[in-house]
Amino acid sequence: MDAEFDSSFFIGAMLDCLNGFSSVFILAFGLYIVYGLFKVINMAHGEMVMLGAYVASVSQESGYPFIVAVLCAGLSGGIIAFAMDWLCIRRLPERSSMSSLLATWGFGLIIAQGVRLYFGSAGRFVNPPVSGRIDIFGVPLPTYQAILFAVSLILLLQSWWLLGRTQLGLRIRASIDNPSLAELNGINTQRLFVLSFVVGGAFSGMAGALLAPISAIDPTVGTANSVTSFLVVITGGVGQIFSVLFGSVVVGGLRSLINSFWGITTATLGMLAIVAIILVFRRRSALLND
Amino acid sequence: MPYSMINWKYYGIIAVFIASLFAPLIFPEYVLNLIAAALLLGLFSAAVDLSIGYGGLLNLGSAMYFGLGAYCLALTQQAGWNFLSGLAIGVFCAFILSALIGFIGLKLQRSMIQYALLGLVISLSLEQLAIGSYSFAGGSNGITNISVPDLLSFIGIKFKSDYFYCVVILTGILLFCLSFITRSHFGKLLLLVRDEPGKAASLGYDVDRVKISVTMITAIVSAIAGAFYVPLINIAYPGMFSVTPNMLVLVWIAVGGVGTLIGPFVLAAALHIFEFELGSQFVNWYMFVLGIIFVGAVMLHARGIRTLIRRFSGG
Repeated sequence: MDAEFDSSFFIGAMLDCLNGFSSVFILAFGLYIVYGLFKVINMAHGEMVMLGAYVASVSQESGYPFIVAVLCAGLSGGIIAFAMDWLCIRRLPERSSMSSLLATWGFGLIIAQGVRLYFGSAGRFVNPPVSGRIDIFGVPLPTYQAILFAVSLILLLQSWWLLGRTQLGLRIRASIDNPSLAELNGINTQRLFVLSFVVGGAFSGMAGALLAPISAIDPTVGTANSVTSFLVVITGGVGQIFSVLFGSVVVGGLRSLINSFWGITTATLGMLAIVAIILVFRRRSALLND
Repeated sequence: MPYSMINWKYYGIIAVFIASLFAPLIFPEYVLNLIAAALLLGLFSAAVDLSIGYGGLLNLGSAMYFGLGAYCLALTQQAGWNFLSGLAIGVFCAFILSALIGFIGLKLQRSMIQYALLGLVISLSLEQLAIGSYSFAGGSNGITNISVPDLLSFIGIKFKSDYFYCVVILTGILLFCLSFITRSHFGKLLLLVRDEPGKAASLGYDVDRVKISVTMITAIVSAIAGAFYVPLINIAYPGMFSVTPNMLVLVWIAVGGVGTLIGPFVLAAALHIFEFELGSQFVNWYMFVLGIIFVGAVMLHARGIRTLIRRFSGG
């Protein structure tokens, strides 16, 4: 009896860990696209996620199916990202610098306050598209969580294929490694940056919609989203697409795992301590070419 | 900064401070608390401006020193300790923390971005720590009911609004000290280290030590401001470590004028008073507008910041 209880607790903790991992991975993916590739830190990422959740909630209330809500949220994120680039980032003397970080932080403030002014401070809700549970060795797992896990795996594999195995990925990698040589070979690096930035923004918006059924939605969650995604990216580093996997495992998975045993405060503090240690001992070139 | 500008500015500031000494004769208690809180926020943003404007060191978690001073004072007051001992503990904690962050970010990593982000991560960890320690620090409610202490009781003086006078005089003195630092030998050295770290090193100065020293000064003054701030608003709360105050102080500095000390001081103080007078719906609008101004200010300063970062990575 005792041993059986232990094993189900253990499986439950493992499933929590997977859930934490997949939600954090989806959350951070949009930031990683921009930061990992072009080393532009989008501090407005969390606010774009929050906006995506609001768009999803509004379109669900208007009676559209969940998948349409996700697409609308992605569209809103893409538009915001394009506007940010057009208004500000392409006018800065250098893309990957402290000033783009600060400017996007300002945009984040604008988005958060705009949402607060338009929707008010009250929270909103999004219903999950599927209900029900799957039994995994006797431990119930919500179907929607399983879908999220599948989505994060698809995102990982698809971006690995896109960057590593296609012409477009080759061009993007070339324009990151050596921008001037890439331009000499007829690659429009500016256009590729805008493309990545808009795609990253779209992923931020979609993440908001996908995570909306399992998280709180109000104007203040943007900063929490930003911070979590940030921790993922700085923990994982920017080496390969799989480094975001590592970051998500540490930030999401490990936090959920510690949470099952010692509670949320210990989990958050432990996770932050691990991130700080990684940050201290990482080689400086790994973060930004500053 | 041209020197002819400094003089009349300082006479103006001295005049304002002397005028504010007469404020208790006119205004009721709550207005005095508001003015004192505004002055302390101004002092805090001037202190952070010393690091950013003169030292060229941008810490995204600057509010943590302010919050640390506030929390140390609130905790010690809760335990029934003396005000000055709480102040000293807060200053000491801020000193140690800034030394640690400076050492890791500026000496080990030598990276502005890492330094900035490390500050943010530590500030947010402190927020989590404050939220999590419910029995010790009141959790997300914070530590409430911190009353205004009798600061001057130990020299036998007690009169109406003595705390207000203490805050005004302290702010005046510390603001003068900050501006004195910028004009002293150390201030010149700061500019040299910011703009030409290689030359500073070749002249025999320890560049890292200068940078870490200026972050320590900022931390100490911020912690003092935070400690004096708590009794005025009766509460120390986890939001003091959150992204909002960290963002706000950068907005004050970027909009008030980087490297002027007095610009951020005046802007922070004035906005605090306006915020109180005009209510929360106005606050939402003004944060929205501040965000727009902030983006504009960043774009205007981008060239300066860019050269700054390039200089830093070179050194």
